[in-house]
Amino acid sequence: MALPKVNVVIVGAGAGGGIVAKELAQAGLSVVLLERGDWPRYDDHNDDELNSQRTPVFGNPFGPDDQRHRRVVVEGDGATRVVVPSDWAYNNNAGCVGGGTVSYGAMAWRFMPEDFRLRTTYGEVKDSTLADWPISYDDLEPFYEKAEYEIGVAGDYSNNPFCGPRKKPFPMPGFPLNKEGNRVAEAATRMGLHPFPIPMLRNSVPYNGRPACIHMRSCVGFACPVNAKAGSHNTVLPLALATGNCQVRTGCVAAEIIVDDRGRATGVRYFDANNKGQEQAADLVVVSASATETARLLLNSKSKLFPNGAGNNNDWVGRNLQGHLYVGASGLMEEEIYEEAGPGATVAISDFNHGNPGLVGGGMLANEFIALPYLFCNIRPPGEAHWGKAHKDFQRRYYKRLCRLIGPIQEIPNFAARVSVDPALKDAWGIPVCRLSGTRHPYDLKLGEFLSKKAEAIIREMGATRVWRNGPGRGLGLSGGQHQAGTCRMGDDPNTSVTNRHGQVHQIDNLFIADGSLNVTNGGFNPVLTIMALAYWVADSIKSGWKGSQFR
Amino acid sequence: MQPTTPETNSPATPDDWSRRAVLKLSAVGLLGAGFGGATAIGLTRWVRTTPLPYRFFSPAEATLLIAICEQIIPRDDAPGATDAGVIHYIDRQLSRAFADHQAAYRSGLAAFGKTCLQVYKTPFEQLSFTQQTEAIRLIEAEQAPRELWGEQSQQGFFSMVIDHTRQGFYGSPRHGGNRDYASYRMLGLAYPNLIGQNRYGAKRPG
Amino acid sequence: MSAGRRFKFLLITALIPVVFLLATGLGGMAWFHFGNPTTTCASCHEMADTHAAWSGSSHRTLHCRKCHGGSLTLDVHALRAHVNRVVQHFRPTRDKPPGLTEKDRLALHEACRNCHPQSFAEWQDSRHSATYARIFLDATHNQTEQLAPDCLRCHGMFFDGHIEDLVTPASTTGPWALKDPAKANQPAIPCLACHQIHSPSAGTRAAHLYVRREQSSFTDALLPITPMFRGGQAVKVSHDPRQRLCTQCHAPNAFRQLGSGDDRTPTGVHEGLSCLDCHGAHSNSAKTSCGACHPATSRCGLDVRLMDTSYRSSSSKHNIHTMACGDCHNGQRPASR
Repeated sequence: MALPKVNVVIVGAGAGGGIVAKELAQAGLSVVLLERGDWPRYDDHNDDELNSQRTPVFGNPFGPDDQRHRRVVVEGDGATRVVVPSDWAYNNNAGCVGGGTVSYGAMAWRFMPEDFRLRTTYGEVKDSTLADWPISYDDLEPFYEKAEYEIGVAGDYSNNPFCGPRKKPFPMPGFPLNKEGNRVAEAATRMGLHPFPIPMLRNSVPYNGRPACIHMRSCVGFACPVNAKAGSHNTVLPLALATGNCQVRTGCVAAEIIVDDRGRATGVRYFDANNKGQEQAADLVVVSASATETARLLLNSKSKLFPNGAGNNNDWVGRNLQGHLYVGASGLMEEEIYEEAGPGATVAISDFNHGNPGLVGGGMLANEFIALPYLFCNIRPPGEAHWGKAHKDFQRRYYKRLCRLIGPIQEIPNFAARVSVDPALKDAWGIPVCRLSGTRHPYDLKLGEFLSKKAEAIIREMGATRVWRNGPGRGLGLSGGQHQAGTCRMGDDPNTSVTNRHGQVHQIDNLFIADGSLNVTNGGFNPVLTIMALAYWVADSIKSGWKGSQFR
Repeated sequence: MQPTTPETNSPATPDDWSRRAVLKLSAVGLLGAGFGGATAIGLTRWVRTTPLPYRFFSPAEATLLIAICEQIIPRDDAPGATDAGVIHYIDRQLSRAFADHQAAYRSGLAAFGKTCLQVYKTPFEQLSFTQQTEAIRLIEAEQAPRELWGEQSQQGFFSMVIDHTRQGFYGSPRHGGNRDYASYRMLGLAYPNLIGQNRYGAKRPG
Repeated sequence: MSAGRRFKFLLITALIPVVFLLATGLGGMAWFHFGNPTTTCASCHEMADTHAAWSGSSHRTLHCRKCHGGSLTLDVHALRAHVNRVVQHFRPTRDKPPGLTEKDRLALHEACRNCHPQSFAEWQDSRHSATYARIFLDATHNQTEQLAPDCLRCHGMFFDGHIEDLVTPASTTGPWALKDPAKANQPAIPCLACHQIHSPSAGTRAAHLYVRREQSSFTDALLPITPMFRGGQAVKVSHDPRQRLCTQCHAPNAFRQLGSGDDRTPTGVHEGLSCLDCHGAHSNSAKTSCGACHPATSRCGLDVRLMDTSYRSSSSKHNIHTMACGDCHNGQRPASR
């Protein structure tokens, strides 16, 4: 039996989907939100490092599971490997209501104005698809503000001269620096840099009915035991549900966007929690399933007018996959600088995001989240023992003396780094899986070298006794991971993009995308706040195009 | 149709029937209870005479693996892998989340044991601590006799054991290792993580 | 054979296996029920640790049934629960050893009363006997702080479910209700919150904290001593192991600041004292403890038993947790006797 038609069906309840659901439900549209995972339950995975999204020894606590999901990874030499979600090569983000916003570190960065016009600022980069965004920082500013106020960001930019102009201050005061953060800040200030507290999607004071942070050391990789960390699941989705217009269907895996012969999306075919095939008809479809899964869903949606997948007549869907190459430096201090109050990352430096002589872009640096004991086993200077008494002694002596400064570099997009669908392998529901191929752009190594040297200098200035760089290494590798982006680029030219500036897929007027897939470039920052702002932006376009009973 | 009543002529009255039935059923019940009790006793005796300290490992495998893990995290003034029950962590996970690693452990431990017998003419667990370290370095460098290991990577096996030993020692005690959260106490990490009621917002001093 | 006889014959023939099977089950269970725990409960290898702990504990003279009456009854429910445990045990996805449900634990809690009526009565008079309704339907608190999974760390730690299964809505506006009204009068902090019955030291003065996250009890001697600070200045903290258990819930914030969160670390003249130096372990009462150290009437003629020592009163100059010499003596030493 066909399900009753609704106004909107949204695929994916993460950072983007939650916001679109709430905005449209509040505007009076009937919304069905499909999510492959479940509502996150703190008690199921509490305070257990081996069950953390960062170190998923027993599989991803916040999904997706290793039993039913697969991907194919094409390695550098052309060999293929089948991987499960808890394998880093899967480039997983999360699979639950709230998506990555349940277990993230919650850094709340706006991209800088330059990030939206890299091509204009820096010119062409060989073998890249570097381009400006079709929208500017100023276009997005009101939506950044909306995200900061509705989801809740604590920040203080009084010492950050590099950020774009803001109309309103942060809704919550910034978090104070911890011991390590203070030491970084002192050193950076002596070097003429501008350290400031990291803006966080985490309550520094009670806000929007949720309490202030209690400073767990197990924060990133975990759900918050008091909901001080803000995500779709504890902010916008409760509001969406409260309207009575929104239904969240969990355990539902989208298989295909149904596109009719006239090129209109008519709904979504999916498998429900009982693995039963269902079709949800809708006036419009919004896909917000993460850069890899959104691309996969579009590619798996073949129709008469789009034989290679929805919106893919130009072969741009799935292209330009980006993530973040993380580089930096680590040092060992004489005295203990560990602080029991988590989550650890408190201070950032944005001096190197742009304006680096002779370089295209750059990246932010921040001190790192607390490494829990198992993760710490792998944090070693080159040449250190991996086992035996020496390894144990290092754990004991340096666990509380480690200082780390790392950051994401702005990756240069390239056409070959891509998501396609594997011709042979299917997941547990018989849906062709993601095939990841290509590598980062070689330019990223150059930027990585640069930024890690800057980090090293700061750590040395802090007085660390032993310092080592966490450079880009030699291999390029494929980028994606939790910061995956770029696979359904927005643009004004339908030949070189997948959607228009409103996230509307070219030629399919009632199909929208609202996640990191839209990002033309991915900034030298964690992308989540930009994804949230884009979701508000896309929802705003949908609302203004909504004519009473149907779209356009 | 008239009801036939020949029973009234039979020697057995309905009362006799009931009595006999009750007697029979009681006998059956007693027999059953005896049988049930005896089975239960037998079962538990049998279980007790075949003690199962480990779910996956044989006692010999366990002895060897315990010695390897102790090399990875040796006891000093703080507990080592053995004290922290790392073997129980690995054993428990192999029957559940790590079922895929069962074959690697079975063949790896066998090859490991044979390597020591061939190279040192002594079982690993009877070597001195220094000799044990030396033996592991051999295997870590993929230098053990190839024919004993076949397709299996020596280094790969040892890396896996290192990783699982770390998990068992540094992970949460709820998974069978890190007994008395020995590693957290060694690191000086407050555990359980002590966090007061919020009331109402945690303020940093100063 | 007539139809009636044949019917009876068939009936009895059919009853024989049924009765036999039932009796077999009953016989087996009866043996488990009355038999020696070493050969019954402990024959399941999952029980080995529990049994070993029990046989070394001060409760080792008690049969399992004496306390575990809630789960070891001689009926179909118990049989089903046991079978279920065995089935669960062989599920490949299961990661947790068989545990007690909250219902089992509350039955245990009741069993404590039988042998320890005095301690039980003291607990009942204390605020630790608070019920689910008292804790989770406190409107003032719920308006101030949103209900969260972390509540269950210190109250309702045995609750078989998530906070959203216990009380709704999870908002600061209410009105709040328990999803299962039967929970309203159940104790939210029962005996097992602080006692591990199989502990070797049960009966001595040691206590064990039940840690919901680990789903096991931690002996107080292994719990961390929490260093405490006034600003950047360290404060002397008692090393009494039992106090470590108190501070797990009556805890400061993550910065370990005096007076933050639910911290009651004594400073001033009482700095370094253990909670248990003044408070009764079960009654929590400190009413009579002043006299243990102080003469009933102080040198200035005050009756220590009548002083307002409440930390609740912000105006009290005699807040027992913080009072310093100068609070009474205005910076002057009292004249010596």
